[in-house]
Amino acid sequence: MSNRSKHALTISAIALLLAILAASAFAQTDDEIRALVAKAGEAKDYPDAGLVAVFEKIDVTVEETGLAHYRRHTLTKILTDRGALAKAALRFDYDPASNFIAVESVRIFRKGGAVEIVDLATVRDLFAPASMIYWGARMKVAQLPRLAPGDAVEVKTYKKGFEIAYLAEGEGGGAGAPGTGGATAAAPGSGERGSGETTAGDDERYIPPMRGSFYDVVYFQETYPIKTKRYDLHMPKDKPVRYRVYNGSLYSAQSFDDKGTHYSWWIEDVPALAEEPRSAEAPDIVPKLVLATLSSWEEKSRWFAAIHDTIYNDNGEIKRLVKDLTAGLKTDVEKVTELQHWSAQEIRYSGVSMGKGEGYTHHPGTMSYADRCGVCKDKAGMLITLMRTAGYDVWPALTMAGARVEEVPADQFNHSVVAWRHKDGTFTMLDPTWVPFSTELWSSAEQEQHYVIGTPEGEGLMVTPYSPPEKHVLKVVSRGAVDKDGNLTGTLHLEGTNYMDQRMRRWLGTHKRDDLRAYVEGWLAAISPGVEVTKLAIGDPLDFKKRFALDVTYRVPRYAVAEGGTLDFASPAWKLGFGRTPLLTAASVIDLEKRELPLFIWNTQAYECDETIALPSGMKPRDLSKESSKTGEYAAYRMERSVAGGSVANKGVVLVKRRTIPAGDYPDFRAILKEAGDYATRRVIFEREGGSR
Amino acid sequence: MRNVTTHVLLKSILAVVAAALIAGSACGHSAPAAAAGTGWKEMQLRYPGSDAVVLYDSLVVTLGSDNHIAKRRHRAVMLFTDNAINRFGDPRILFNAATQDLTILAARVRMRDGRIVEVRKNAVNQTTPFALDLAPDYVDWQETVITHMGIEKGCVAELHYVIADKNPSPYLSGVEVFSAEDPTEERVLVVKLPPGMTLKSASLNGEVSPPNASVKGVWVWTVRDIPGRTPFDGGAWEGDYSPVVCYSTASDRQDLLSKLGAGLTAKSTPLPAAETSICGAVKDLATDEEKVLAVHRLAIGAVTGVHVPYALLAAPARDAARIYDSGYASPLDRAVLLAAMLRTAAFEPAFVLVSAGKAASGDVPAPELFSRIAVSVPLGDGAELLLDPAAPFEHDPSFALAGKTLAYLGPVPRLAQLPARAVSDSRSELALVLKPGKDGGFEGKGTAILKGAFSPYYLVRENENGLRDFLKKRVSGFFGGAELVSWNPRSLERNEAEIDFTFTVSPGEKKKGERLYLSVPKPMESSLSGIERVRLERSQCADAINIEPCVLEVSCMIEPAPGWKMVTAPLPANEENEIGAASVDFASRADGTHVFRKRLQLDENLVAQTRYADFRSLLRTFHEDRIVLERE
Repeated sequence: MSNRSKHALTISAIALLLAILAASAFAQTDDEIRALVAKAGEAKDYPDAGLVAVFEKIDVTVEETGLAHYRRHTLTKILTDRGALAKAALRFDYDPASNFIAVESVRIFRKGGAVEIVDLATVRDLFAPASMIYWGARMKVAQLPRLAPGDAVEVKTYKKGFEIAYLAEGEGGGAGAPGTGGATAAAPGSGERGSGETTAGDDERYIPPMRGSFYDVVYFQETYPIKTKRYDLHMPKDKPVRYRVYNGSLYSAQSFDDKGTHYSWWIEDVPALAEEPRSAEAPDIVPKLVLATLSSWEEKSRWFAAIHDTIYNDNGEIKRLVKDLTAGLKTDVEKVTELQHWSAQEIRYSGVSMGKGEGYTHHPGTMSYADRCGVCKDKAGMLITLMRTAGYDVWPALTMAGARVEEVPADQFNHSVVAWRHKDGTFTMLDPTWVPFSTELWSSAEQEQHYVIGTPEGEGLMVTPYSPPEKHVLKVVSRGAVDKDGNLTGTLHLEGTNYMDQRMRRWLGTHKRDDLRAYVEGWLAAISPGVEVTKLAIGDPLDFKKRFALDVTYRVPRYAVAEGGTLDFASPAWKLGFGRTPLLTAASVIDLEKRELPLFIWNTQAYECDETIALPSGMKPRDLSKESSKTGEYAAYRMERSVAGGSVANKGVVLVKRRTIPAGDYPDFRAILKEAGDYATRRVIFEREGGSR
Repeated sequence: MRNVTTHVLLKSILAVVAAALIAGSACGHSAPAAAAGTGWKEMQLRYPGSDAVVLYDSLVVTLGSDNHIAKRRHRAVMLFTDNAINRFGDPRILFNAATQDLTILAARVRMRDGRIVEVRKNAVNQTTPFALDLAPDYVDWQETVITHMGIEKGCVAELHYVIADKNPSPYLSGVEVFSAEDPTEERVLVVKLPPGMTLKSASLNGEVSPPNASVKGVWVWTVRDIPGRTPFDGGAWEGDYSPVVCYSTASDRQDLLSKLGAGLTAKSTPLPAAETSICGAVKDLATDEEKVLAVHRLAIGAVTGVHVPYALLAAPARDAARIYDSGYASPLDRAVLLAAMLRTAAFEPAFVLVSAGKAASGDVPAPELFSRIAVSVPLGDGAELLLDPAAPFEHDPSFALAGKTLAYLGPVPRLAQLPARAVSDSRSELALVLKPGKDGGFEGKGTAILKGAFSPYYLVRENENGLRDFLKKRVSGFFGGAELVSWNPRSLERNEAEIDFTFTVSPGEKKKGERLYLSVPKPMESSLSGIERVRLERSQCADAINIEPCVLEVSCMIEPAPGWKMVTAPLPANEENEIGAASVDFASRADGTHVFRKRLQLDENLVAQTRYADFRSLLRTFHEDRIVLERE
């Protein structure tokens, strides 16, 4: 054992003792717990809730190394049968490479007063469910005896180690690999390889990679009501934390002694977080505490650059690949575009662990090239390797897709990307994970998104620029004719720019090919369920040198009401947008009249319609309602309808101006889109000139 | 021995793969650009419109002389598109880690330039299935995920593994359906038995070549050139219309079913822990039927359903007491819990296996032919209630299960095939009359006749407001949002109900020259006929669709208010084909009223893929529902 390890062990033992003492200071007697349960209320006090958290307490003690000890103590009261079934089993996640968890006690306080102790020997230690990221994450699962309304579940756990947002470290595990004479999969919970059982001597791996630092992001609202939630933090004497509370307020206290600083934050009587479709992410909504010992984002930036300083080396194959890919290309943008396309399209998203450093460091480019797979950071590492081979100044970067990163320099990242530094010191951001099938260098679904670039000089927290809807147009060119019997025949040409081009390529380029016709028919059902697609042409979604388009020829028997010399129908192209298709997402996410939470739709968008429908000769509109428009802060539209040369023309555009619509502005946003949809899809009556009504 | 066998097999598959790659392997260039456009491109041209082609897919099922079963799967797929890469890049292998050993024999990719990329140790990862994370009693079921490395368009991904049982089995059986999502060049099923042992087998749908039994104790079925298609859930079992092989070494079906039944019965002893709630649920109920249904509702709500990723009988059931205590249940465990709760209420339930397809093959005792389990409760006079342990009892199940084989697992097991239903058995008829009402709206009267499959008898008896809730919900879908005013059930029987009701329609103010567009509603419960399985715009369907033989009929008499005129109504139509008939009629009477009628008759219970166009055509005719009025 190294001196450093011995030192860590000593410190760890002391800290653990402190943590136990701290935890015991807050411990309640059983009678006090019963009183709290009784006082927590009944089902009638919490409409729609199956359970209520009587208290949730987290007590954290941090060592000089940054190693953190978490003691969690929760008490949950069951309110309904549904709540009882929801708590039938408890799951505790951990990652054996970076943290350790022990379930210390689980007790049931029965409504009648009895206390049952759950036998912890029955807790199963298992590989966690996983999809696309296979880093050996584990979980412990405890089966509880049948619960009933009025019962309460008390849980105490101890966890040590660190977590890096989604970039948690892992080692992999499970069945052995072939080529070794055949390996056999481990039985779950058998304590074989991959199990989280460790000894104190393993503490080195629980010390955060940015040694000495500590951070946490704590949420104080959940999908169930909470009576009290408390977070206590014990820091060594000379390790102050920066912290700030967001999305609300918390009670707080701070005290000092000769061992260190004790911080406390708590909240009381928190209602359950509303569940609304397409709401903004929890970090942007719920009261949260963000704290860190780091002094600045620049410090994080330098560290992130330093841990990657040797992994972007290339080899002969990569050199040849770069040469082939960039051959004949003239500009830097052309070359970078080509290199990013390769990384985006050829490194598929599926991550395995490389062992030490997994989760917070990129895989070497040579590894990703050979594997042809990886998660975002590995795709980013591949692109950096390709670009450095091509002679560009490129650096790894961190970002948070879909939510804010607060200014307190705590790790709040869920995504890794690439920064291309130009000679003038400015950067162009690149993201090979989000641009498959895209002509954008940076996906506009990541606009107004925070990021930190890792460079030796150190960079601060930055934000990607706003991208207006006019840059992301889905244009529908519709040409057709309605005959005197109301039968519609027509063509549709759908083409997008930037993000909407990517959407089109992705929708049609990743769908199962033998089902593509049915998929497109499903879109056209918005025009009429009676639609018949007679011809379908789809561009090559991977040919980025050509505009991508979908061309459909179709007909709809008796589309228009044709009677008594009149024809009566609505615009097919506008119906395509305002129907339940993905083509204008905003139009299909406004069912709720009001929202409690912001609406989040990822991207700004324009839906543009250019339509001409030929009419039988001699038809004139009864009431054309020639134009309509409205402008709001979050949405706008302008539309016009005209008749000339025996045709009716529908032209216009709907603009979705922001990707996050605050709850307070949602009614206005909704009203504009509703009004737009009403005008756009209104049936227009045409009658024979001279009148034949 | 195993190494030798493995080596030979690997050589063999590589030969197959190599042959399939043809020129692709010959080039030997390492740069991607050089490899492009060779063998895989030719293969892609051979399979236009496909994302992948399965070059070889075999399942070898071996029963050892010690009665241990081993299943070896070997597959090689050439991938053309990102869709295929997504589907085949990370295959998951499900196995029971407590009772089976999984051994990966080969997992590798042949890249376009011929390089072979073996998966590394860190690319083989065990996980718990998502569905089981909060069901610790089931977590012996694990999935090993293979992350193929070197995947690129045009590569061949090969996976070869064996799952060996740790414990002996009393028999070996299985069912293999020879259908595929991607075109498959060769699909092989091999069954190996110890010398002297016999295998019962049957090929259903008559399209699988007879087994090659040239080697003693080895049965081989091979199907070549299986077309690929994206599965469409038409509610029918693939085995009803695709080639199927079922096989079994069990000598006696009665014995097999008897043992299955005895095992389940032993698990479903009365449940003291639930006695109080059961007594409360059946208290004051007059009939056995009411009591059974009350216990059924209680059992459904007593646990959370777990969508276990394994087959119905792949794992033994748990004891009812444990199921109840744990708070969750697989479909099999749900049946055990329901039976136990019924026993607690002094009923004598029996377990019933329900065949996956229309029939369970004659002489082959393969329990895999059964995919669901039900619980039967005799009610006297030969009547029974057949309960789905996972779903509320809302309609007579003998309609939805018509034609299926039921295996009653009593001490003396018996098979029974539910009779196919005739068109005369089921009818949903809706007669509506709309007359001018207040504020430019309509007052409506309606009569719904719901017979056979459509009778809401059980559905409306779930609670005291059942009929009101039933009608309110259905009527709210009429004419864009009608409101129920009153209702009067003329009759409400298990097999037929006739209900009168009144309602109002408030379409809103219209100015002169404006139009009112009314969609005549579908008959109530028409979704039970299966017609909503199909979206009208869908032009093709590669799977069969289950439908209910029945008649659906709507009539709507409209009397426009003064100052309104009828602009148009559906065109009369009359169509008949092998699936059934559809008609639409419209008439304007001298008294100013207009009568619209439409009717759909479904004569069949299954729409074969080849007759999809006929079915769709009938539905398109029946879909006509537009009535347009104009304010004068």
